[in-house]
Amino acid sequence: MEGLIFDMKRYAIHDGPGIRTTVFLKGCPLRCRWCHNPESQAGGQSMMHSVQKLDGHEFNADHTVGERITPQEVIRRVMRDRMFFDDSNGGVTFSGGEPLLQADFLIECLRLAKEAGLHTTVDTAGAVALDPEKLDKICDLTDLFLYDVKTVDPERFSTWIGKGFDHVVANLKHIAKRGNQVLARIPVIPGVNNDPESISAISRFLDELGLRYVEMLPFHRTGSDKYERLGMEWGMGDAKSLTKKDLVPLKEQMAAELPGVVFADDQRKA
Amino acid sequence: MTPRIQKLRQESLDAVNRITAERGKLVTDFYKSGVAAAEPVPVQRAMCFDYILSNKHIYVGEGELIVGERGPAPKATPTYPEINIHSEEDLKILNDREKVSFKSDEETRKVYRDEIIPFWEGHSNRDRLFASLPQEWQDAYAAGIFTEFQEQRAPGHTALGLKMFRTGLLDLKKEIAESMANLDMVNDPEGLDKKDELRAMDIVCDAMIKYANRHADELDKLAKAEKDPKRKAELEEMARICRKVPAHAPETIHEALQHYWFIHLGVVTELNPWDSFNPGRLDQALWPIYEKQLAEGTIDKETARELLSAFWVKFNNHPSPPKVGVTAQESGTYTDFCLINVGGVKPDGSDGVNPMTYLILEVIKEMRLLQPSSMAQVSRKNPDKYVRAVIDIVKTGFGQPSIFNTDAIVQEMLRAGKDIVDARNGGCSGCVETGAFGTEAYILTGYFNLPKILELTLNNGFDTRTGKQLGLKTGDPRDFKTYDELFEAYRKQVQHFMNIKLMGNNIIERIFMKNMPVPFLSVLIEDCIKNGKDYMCGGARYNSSYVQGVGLGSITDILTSLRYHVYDKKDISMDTMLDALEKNFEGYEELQRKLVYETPKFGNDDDYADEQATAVFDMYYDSVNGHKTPRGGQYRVNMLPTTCHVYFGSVTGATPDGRKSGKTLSEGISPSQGVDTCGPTGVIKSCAKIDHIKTGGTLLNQKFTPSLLETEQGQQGVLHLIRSYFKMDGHHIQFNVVNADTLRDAQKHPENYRDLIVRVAGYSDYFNDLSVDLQNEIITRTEHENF
Repeated sequence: MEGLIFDMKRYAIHDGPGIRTTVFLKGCPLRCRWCHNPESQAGGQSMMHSVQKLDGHEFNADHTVGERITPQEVIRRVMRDRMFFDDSNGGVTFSGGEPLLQADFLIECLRLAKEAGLHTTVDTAGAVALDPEKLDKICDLTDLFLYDVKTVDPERFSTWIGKGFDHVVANLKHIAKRGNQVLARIPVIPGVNNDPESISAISRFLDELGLRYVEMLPFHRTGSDKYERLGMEWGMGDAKSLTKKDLVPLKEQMAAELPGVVFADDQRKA
Repeated sequence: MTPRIQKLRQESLDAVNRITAERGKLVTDFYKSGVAAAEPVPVQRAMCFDYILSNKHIYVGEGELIVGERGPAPKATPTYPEINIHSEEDLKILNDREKVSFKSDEETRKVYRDEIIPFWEGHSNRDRLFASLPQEWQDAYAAGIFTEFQEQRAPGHTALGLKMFRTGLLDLKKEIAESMANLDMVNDPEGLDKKDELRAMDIVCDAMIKYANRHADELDKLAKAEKDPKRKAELEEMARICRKVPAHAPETIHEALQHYWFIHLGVVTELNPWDSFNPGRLDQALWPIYEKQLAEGTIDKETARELLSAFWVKFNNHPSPPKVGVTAQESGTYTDFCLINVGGVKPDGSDGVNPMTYLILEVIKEMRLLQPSSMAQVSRKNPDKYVRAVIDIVKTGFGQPSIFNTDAIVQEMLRAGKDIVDARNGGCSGCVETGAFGTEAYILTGYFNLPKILELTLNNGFDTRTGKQLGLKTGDPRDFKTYDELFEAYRKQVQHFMNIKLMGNNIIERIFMKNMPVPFLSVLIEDCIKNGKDYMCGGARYNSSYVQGVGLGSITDILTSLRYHVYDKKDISMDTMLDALEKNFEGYEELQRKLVYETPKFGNDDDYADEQATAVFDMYYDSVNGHKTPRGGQYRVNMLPTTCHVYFGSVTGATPDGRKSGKTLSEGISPSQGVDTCGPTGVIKSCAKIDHIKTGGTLLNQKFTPSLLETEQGQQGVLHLIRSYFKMDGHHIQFNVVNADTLRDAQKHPENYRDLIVRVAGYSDYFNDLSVDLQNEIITRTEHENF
């Protein structure tokens, strides 16, 4: 069996507990306008323009994004940092793209990771129609879900993000019901959810599912230059990057509306 | 920071670095007088020491709590004409150069012109060395294959042990008398030498006690004249302390710091030893005294903090003594490599972190001074809370403290045959050099240019830069059929030059043994008194000499590139490679790109590349380790560059890793600048593949941008990086926390960044004092911002 990945990052310290290696699976059903990994969206290999500089000379270094790889090879590479995982209670995170899109490959990777004794995290937006049995299997093998909750307004979802809103809700409900640990990650995006109404709606939604573990991530323009290199169009216009400070009122509001909420970044500090 | 400390600190920062002829003239006067001409060398040197301390100016700064200066005032830097003589031209260059200047006035130059230069010219120790070193040594030295530490400064490289914080010089005088009484002048062929040495030791103890009393007298005088009752009481207390220490063992924090400071002044006045001198495990030394005083209620934390801060300022008053024969470009550094240790383990091996450890860390953070440098020993037994307190300072970005692995240091020392308690009482001094504090003379002898020797191997032993056949004729590399043949030729060349280096070291060590004994340093280091032997002559309990390998990352990438392209993939012929190197990649830009971007590199946890690192390291180790030195010590290896990788790069032509001629080499065991692309865990894994325990120190520099350390996860991540690296026996790691834009701006607007301190290699320096090359290198070192 092979899957398609587009990157592996070692010393990932923001994708779950401890020091981790994050494996980025390629292909995503969504087209979030702010996506900072646009090279991850297409389901096959894609070309990316790039330039290498050396002593004043410039070289064209266009390259293919996407590597076909077996789950065994993924875990072999991940295990190179075993020492760091052990020390920090870290492990492996599968992100994307959308990892659920390659469910069989993901299951096999997770199975091997658990066999190797690693803490496993799956970072998903959930917009995939999944056979409940497969989702159960994934739940069995996953210690922590980082689950994107971008908006709970179906219209906004289709305007800014794309198709699959119902799957996002159904899958999260399924996971929450099973009692898996879930960190709801809210990318705070101007025009999408950085208003009190959106935060209220998200708070109510999380409350219904019994989810209290939340992280807000400020929008940033980091990915914008990649669009040009991929021949794609950046969908956020001139929208400015947000800072952690911009999130403070939203966090305060959520804290008031969702009693018992724990923000991941505050918790780590404590 | 109290107003007093603020003032003293600012005065130290503002004081102008200058040359004083005080010591030079006193030494000259002493030898001119001929009073000691009939005495043996150690006694002559002891009497000279006494003469200097009896006649040098006593300086007490306004508001000072710890007294004593090496020169007549802060930053007035003495010279050591018996070791090397500054010519008038040297003084002029030092005065005029833009960076790391030392001012000298006409009066100073006149003393030099009329008295110092005429008396010493032709028979300084440096003159002796160069007269004795054979041509092949001089050729290799001139070609930049190795450097020589003892050419301009005396061997030192040591730190005070815990014993001396519990001992007064009067106690030592008793030990000296005992050792003298035990001499067997009938049967011991060295009896007379020992007697002379012990006499010298006794003289220097008295000289130092007198010197302390001169300070007491001056303080009494100042106290009498003082109107402010508070300061008057302080001055009286300081006078009392100066009459007590270092003659007697200290019993308060104030006494202990003043005690050490007098000892420090003695060591750096006797000669100009490398790394000045070092209080070693300061928190371990001070804690029992502090604990007792806290219990008695005779000190509080703020008083202790102020005393420590005043102590810190004293180190900053002492720039490293400037070299001779300098050029305008060769700016060097003001840092004198005193490295204060905190943390680690106690003599019984248990966790050594105590409240004094944390207080010293707070002082380091507040003082933010270039000197003294500081390091944190981290044992697996030390709590995370302590490591986090260290990271809390690291993230402020002034390059201190550097972080060391106690458990590896102890293993390194055990491997070298040291006693377990001596090992636990040790640490690192200078940049990263392991030593048993208070019991070992561990001497660095010079840097060794590993990439340059590969360049010579590719030219059949010929150095194109100097136009000389310096190496062996190991054959035309076009004829090598396999990578192993190439490596074997390289190995032969390394051993050839190492033999030249070691032979030179032996000559130099012998010259120091005969001519430059240091009775004062000797009384401080155990068992010199017992053995009746000088520090220079093997009197210490342990004696090691190091040759420091430079350019591990570069030589690994060079060998990997040859193995990969010429022998394995065969996509570049040796002939093409040699032509590209000769032409410095002119017309070979695409090939150079391939070498840089499409070749496995050290620092990415890639076994293909890292195999060359371990092979070179083992080969280098074998070329040095275990050879005997004249004073009865053993040669060992270190892997650290200070700033020598810049100089070594400047004499090394284009290399097969795609590096152009003259460019900087990699530093320490860090990967070549910018080639580590898979993050800090990759770097750490690569660096852990060499066997650190076989060394006396390795240096790994990781540049982090501030953003990586801002968050809780970031700081916790660094904690785990350190813990993991140390579990893998890594010796040392340091973090440079700055971002490249800040540094670029600092290059453009140095005036706005006068306080910008960056980690260079084994030490920190003001960014503005670095050469443009070194500045550029620091900017290009990989930033791990994206991880």
